[in-house]
Amino acid sequence: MRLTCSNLSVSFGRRNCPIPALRNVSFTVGEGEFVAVIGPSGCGKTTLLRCLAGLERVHSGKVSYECGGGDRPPRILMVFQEHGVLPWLTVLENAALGLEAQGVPKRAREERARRLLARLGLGGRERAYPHQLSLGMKQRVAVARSFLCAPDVLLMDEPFAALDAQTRLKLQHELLALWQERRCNVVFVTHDVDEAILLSDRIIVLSAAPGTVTGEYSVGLPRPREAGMMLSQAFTSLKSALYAQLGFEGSQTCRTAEIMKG
Amino acid sequence: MPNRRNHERLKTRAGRWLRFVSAPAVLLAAWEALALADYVNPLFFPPPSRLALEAVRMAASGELGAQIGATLHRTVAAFLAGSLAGLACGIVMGGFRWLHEALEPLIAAVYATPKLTLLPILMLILGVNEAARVAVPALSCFLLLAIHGFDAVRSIQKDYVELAKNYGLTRLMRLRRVYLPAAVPQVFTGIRLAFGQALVLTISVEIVSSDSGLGNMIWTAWQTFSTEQLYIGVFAAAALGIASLVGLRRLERKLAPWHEPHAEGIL
Ligand SMILES: Nc1ncnc2c1ncn2[C@@H]1O[C@H](COP(=O)(O)OP(=O)(O)OP(=O)(O)O)[C@@H](O)[C@H]1O
Ligand SMILES: [Mg+2]
Repeated sequence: MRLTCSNLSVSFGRRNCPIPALRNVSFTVGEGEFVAVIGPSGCGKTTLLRCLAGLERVHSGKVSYECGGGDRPPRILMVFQEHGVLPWLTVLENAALGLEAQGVPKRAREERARRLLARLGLGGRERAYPHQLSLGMKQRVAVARSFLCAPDVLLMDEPFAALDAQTRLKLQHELLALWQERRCNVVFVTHDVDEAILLSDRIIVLSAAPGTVTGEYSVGLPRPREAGMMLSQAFTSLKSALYAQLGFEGSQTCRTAEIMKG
Repeated sequence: MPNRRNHERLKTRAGRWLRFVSAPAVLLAAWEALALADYVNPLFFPPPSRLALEAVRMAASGELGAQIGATLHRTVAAFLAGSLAGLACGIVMGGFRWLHEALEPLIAAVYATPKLTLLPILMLILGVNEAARVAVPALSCFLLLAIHGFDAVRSIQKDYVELAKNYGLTRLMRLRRVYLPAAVPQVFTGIRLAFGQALVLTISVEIVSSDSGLGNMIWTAWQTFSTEQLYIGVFAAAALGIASLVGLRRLERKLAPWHEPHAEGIL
């Protein structure tokens, strides 16, 4: 499956005074590729994913999927940034919801959900309701649900943003392992540069609103990735290039320091 | 250790019950003392002990049960008919904006009218009969559920619907997995209010026009100056109110166990 996004523009607001959110965004995601999207808050990352999922009306431009000879429509699943679990379903029911929609019998889908939940560190919490979980645990439930559905394209909207560093590393590891087993295309939105480098094959940088693509970087690190790579030369040089691209150059840091001094 | 925890839970529970009954108990005790000491006229304020004895006598003769039964029967009938119709109306209004716009002024107008004032009009329409008596509380239930049912449908998070669509849930599955459960808490707010209103209005109608029920019992007691029965009637009505509140809250907890618990209450 190959995803192509060409000249995508989206605006909100009324027709006579539109507020642009995305402008002329073009990129592709190749077969089984893991692409990260980074950009400042409010630059349109969520909007971009919603366009890819077909949840947003596209004003101009096009999103297209080229299937490799499959007969069913592509399964494009989203791990939502907010409200990603249904509060009235238990952890198990939430995780198995996609399988339920696919018509998998109850016993089988719950068995599969149980196994994946255990892998994501939620063993024993299957009967809990979301309000009894932490934010990070809810995100894991959403991740479990998406992977159980065998997606063609997985759209993840800052799934690990609310986690502590330790849990995040563990989940990043699990995510990569799951993805390695079942290669699907992933578009992973994050505002964490380290996370983007550690996980992806390619990084797309968006400008501040209205978001446009200001840079694309290949991540040359070998797979499987390990946390130790974060200390490697390749990692740090890419990281400083990305920071520069995002506008955190030396001069700016100095200016911030001056402002803070008073 | 579990023993200790159980013990503590028991203690806090017992403590809550104690606080719950303490205020009424103090009030009743004071009343009893004042009446026995002749500080208040026992003809106007018969001591609670005498009320209790009279209540036991009335219960044993089946008199009390019959009146409570009559009131409950009307209340439940009005509640069920009014609420179901109102809920249906609210949900349909939630689905069709123009219908809501068309009906809203009507609903607001009737909602603001004291329902008892509509009894004569309803009697002109339906005749001086049981139907007109039940129609008053039923109308109130209808309005409450129409309003809260509409709100419930309208306030469903769009995000959840999108999630369900994204994961391929069919229309029917979305109804069962998203719309219905999402509506439960708000609908229950309406249901609790509606049952309370049904009880209040049924008793009010019974006072004005009926030969049975707690309202009739209270008014007859007033006219014949049987103050004991007067108080027993009022207490019975209060007990019905509390019992219905407890029952409905239990039911809600069963239907929506996922709903974040409100401040821990005793009921
Ligand atoms: N439904 C909407 N109506 C109006 N404006 C919207 C809507 N959704 C998003 N926007 C606007 O579009 C812009 C991009 O929003 P978006 O949620 O895509 O940002 P984001 O990059 O995901 O931010 P964050 O990193 O904080 O999640 C913002 O300026 C936002 O105000
Ligand atoms: Mg976002």
